Amino acid sequence: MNYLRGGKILRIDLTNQTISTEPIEDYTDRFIGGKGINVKLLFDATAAKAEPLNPGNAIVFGAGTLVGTPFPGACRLDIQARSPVTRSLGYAGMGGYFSARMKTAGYDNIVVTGKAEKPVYVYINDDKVEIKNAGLVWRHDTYETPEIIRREVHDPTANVISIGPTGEKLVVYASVVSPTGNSASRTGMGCVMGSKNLKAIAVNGSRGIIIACPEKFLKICNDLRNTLCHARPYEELHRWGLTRNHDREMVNYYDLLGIEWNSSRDVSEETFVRDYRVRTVGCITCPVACFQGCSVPEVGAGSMKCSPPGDLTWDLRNKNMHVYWETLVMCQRNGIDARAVSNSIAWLMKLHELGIITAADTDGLSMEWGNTEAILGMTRKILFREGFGAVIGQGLTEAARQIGRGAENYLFMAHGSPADMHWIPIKTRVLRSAVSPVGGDSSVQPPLDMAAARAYIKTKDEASFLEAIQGLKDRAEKELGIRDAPDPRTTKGKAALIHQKEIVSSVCNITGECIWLTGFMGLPVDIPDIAHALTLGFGKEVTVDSLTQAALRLQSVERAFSQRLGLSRSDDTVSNRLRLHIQRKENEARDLGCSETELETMKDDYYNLKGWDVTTGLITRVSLEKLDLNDVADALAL
Amino acid sequence: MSQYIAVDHRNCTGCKTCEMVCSIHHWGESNMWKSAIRVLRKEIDGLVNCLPLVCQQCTDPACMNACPTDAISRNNGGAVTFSKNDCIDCGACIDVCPAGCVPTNLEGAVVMYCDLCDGQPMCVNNCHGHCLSVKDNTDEKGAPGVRRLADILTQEKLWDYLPVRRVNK
Repeated sequence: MNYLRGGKILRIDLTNQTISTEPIEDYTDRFIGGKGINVKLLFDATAAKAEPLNPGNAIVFGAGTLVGTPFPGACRLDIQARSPVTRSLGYAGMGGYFSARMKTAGYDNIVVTGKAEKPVYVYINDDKVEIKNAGLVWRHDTYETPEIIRREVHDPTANVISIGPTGEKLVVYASVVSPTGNSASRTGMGCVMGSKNLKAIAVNGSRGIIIACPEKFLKICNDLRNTLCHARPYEELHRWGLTRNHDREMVNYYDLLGIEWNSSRDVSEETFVRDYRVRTVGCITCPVACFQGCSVPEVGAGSMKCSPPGDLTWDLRNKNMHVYWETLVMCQRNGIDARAVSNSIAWLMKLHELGIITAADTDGLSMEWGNTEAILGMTRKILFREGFGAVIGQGLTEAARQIGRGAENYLFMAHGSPADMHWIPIKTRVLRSAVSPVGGDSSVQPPLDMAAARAYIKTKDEASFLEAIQGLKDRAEKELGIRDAPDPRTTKGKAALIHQKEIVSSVCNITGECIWLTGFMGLPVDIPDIAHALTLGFGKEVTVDSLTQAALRLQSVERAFSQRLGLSRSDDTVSNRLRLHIQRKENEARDLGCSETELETMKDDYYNLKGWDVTTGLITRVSLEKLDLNDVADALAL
Repeated sequence: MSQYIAVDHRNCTGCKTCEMVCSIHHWGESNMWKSAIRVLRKEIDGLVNCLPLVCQQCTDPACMNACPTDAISRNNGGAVTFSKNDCIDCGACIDVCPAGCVPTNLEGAVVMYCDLCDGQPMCVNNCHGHCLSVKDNTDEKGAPGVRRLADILTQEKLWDYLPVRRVNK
């Protein structure tokens, strides 16, 4: 019995218009499910040197092992391909309802290869899988497309994910979006769909997810839901999403960065939600429901969520919440990573401030900080690849090359991907941004050294600082055996902090669990809960150790994917502007921030922990064989 | 006096946990098409509207009156119940329910009636949003719960999104 599974991998070749399936079992022992299987399918299906927008690139969709069950927060859909943004591994995840429906149709993972001659969408209804002409939906946005498709296939309960005009126009930052604001935004997965002429995937399914011990499984889900709903941060997150938290945190972030902004008090997400909230909504089986559905007359509706309110206000010095909302709705409708839009505009504003560009370079838009006309105008240009927007649409690295005049020195990038401008470059975050296979990834944020960094700027002297971080050090000693790990001034233990959170993140990705419900947001779901649920679901024991092994396999195959493209230690880096973004007094910036030497020291520790070659950062045959990944070692010719 | 599951859909976040726990409890699998409660979901112009639909245990049920074979009856606790053996798949119960609260599975339109889980409904216990609650049906004349749901369906233009009739037999 295929417990907890859809049961099959669906393969769609758009060039030859062929559809096939295979059982999932070949992958489950080593990779368990979700992103674990996804990344191996991508590694196997993508031609070794296929350019991101060529038919040889594959795009893979995966639903985690617990998705489709009532395990609280198991809702994630993982999308991976070679990225047109980083030019190496791409990855974006989204919540919503699509992933669960994929499994009830019988599929845990979907691999799409090739390129359709004309625009198409895929309609999956159990065993019936059709590649259909997308003539009716092409050029429609991600709000309209699902409804048109549902009508065309006479299936009002089908779940649909789609790309908007931005993905069709191959803007590298294009996203894949659900009709309700769930967005797989990062690394240009919508652009890859566009390059395949794949407008959307619609799915419906009639099968159930079979559970080995249903009543016991139900009980632990019920108990965990209760625990969640009584956890300290729950009420705030459920009622307000991240909005009020954000209002406080943005002040703290900018304080840590040492950047002042006089108009910051005008920006209030809480007030905006109070004024315009229609309804709190969320993803399948999630008790937190962090989305605030808002509607502003004359502008439109969308979901207020964790990103990008700070990106489109503080980071652009924009105090006008209506301009923020108009920009967000445009980004959601047309399908783009709003964080990349914010980062691009902030970069242009910096270049304008320095005199590197003028309004003449940007089609007459004066890219002054906080200029609302420039924010709306440039967003439109990027979305529709018009005028100067076409320069940005190729990606910022290429845009910097075209502008020249030293513009590349002001890019704010993590491993080739535009980072968020309120990212605090303390040591763990610089390390993670550098070694992450996909660049800036907000799912790995160790809290200990961030808490210590805050204590550092708030305490008067060394003695009071050490007293303030006593508890953090106790925790680090208990969890990692490295007492100094939280101290923001030293590189000690930083790789271990990252490694610890990478395991949690990978286990969540394998099972489809949303990272928000874990310690990431101070909520109680942890790896042992997931292992327990899998044990009852499969009817055979799944241990924390076996989950950890699967997480390490996932990370190794990700690394192998990059390695096959020729990436190594020197590519594990962030732009100097990101690394040097802390603008506090010199000694504070030095203590909290991260020098090049410190980054290299932490990378040594990190590669050592992973068992990779320290000199080159390359994965080794020995480390792959330890994880039973001999086939990956063979593919890399190690 | 029977009880019913009252719905305050303003609190519904659309998470469908109720559907999943109902089907696991009754059928051992997580399958919305085998759940007695179905969450209607309308996604238009960037907003979501959700409305859980579940038998409102009418005191004078239209479905029971319309059933030609007595497949629908009341059990000792007063809950409307369904006998699969007596059902001839005519669909009359589905058509007459004023609020689309008679869900079917996909294999031969077997009706999924809410049996209130013997007084401790799983969906209510697992609803984090305070959207579902068990209430006494005090109105002896008719069907206030179902009329209320029907009004919501009309007022909020939700009729086109009923999740109960996916397969046209």
